[in-house]
Amino acid sequence: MIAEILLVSFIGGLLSLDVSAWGQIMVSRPIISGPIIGLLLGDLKTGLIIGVLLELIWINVISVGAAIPPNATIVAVTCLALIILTERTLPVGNNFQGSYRMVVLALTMPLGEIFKRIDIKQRKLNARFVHYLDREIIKGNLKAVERVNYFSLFLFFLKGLLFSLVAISVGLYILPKLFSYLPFAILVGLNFAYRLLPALGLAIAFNTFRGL
Amino acid sequence: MRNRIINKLDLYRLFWRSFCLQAVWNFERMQNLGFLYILAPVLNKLYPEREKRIQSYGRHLEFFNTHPYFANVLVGIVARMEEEMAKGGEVKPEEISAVKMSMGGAFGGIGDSLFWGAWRPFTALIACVLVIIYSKKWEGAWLAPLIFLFLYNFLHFHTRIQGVMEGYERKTKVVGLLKKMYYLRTIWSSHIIGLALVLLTVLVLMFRDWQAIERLYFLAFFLSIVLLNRWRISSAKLLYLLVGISCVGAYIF
Repeated sequence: MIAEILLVSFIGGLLSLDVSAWGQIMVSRPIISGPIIGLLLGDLKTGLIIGVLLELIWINVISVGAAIPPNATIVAVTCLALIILTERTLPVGNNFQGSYRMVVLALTMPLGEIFKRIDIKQRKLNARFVHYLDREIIKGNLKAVERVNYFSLFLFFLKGLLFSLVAISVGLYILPKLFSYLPFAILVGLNFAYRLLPALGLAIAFNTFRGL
Repeated sequence: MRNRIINKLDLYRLFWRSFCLQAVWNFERMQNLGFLYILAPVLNKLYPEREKRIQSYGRHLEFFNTHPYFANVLVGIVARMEEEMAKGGEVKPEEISAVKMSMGGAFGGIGDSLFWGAWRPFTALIACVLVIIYSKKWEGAWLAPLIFLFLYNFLHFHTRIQGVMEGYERKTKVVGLLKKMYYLRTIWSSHIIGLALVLLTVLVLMFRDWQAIERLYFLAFFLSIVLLNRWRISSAKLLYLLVGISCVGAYIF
């Protein structure tokens, strides 16, 4: 369990690099990062389903210019890790699998916004690197450009790793307790909500394409 | 044949380094350090004298921002201009700054609407629809994300490599590159295919996963979310709305 959490956080850190810091080859999109986490935890099917649902929900997320959107990758990673790890503890043949998934989804959704705030903080602090290099280059220390780049990449990675590590650990502590408090009626309602979820994603996708 | 200092291998090196463009993205001068990092090997080669090299590094600390894929066009152009300047041509440092500023803005706009606005949603939608439609039999569904990756990155890598090469070859005449990229036109029209795909998937889901009167709930929910999303209510809020409504509904019925 601990090894799996560490592995998922490590991969989460790498995937969150792809959002903007390195590459942007789109492995950070939920539709790719979902199945990757699913594969790591031995449940590719769940990874695909949740990945697709999240991709449709965040399909309109565009970072134009200096605007930083909520981070879909961190939501996909933590949400999937929590869903797969908590489903192992549920009794087999549970009728309310969808309801529990819905709870996890609703609880991890704000993480994208929180991560965005941290991201903005870091990008403000990155200006210090610029001032540092302003001084170093005049001094003639040209190698500093490369070092600052790699160090900043490492910080981006560390941020993703630590964030998903904390989020998954806290979630694993809270969620099983929360599940046992949920009354029957709420579970029925959440199950219905889970079945409606593709319609929510498709409606957002519809608007995205209508607005082009 | 003019004598070149920068060879093909250097250009590939620029391409490889271009992935790090936003590694030190900051609110003050945005992609400036990434751009300097990409250009560093070329600057080192062009200016063997220490004094000039320091000057050239200093010049590229200025503000720079554009779309990360199309930045490569500017990398190519600036590499060529720097080369001409190093050989004693009549390029002035101010011209390089002007090109970075003006073309950066223009390519930023094109790239945002082309990649973020059209190509990524479109390719992602194809993969999502494939997974949803084939979700009953799982043998082939895992291929869908790979299809997305390949489709998307075909255009992405094409833009990055061609950007460096064409930018270097043609300098500011590179705007013609956009004319050459005729396939762009097909992407502009992709939103119609996207709309059709979404509606098709809604119909498939409606008749496959839902029975009798429930189909109407499904359709009504889809249409109301389309309307609500139109009023700029964010995805997360819509999700909470769904959770709230279904919980209240479960208590009533």
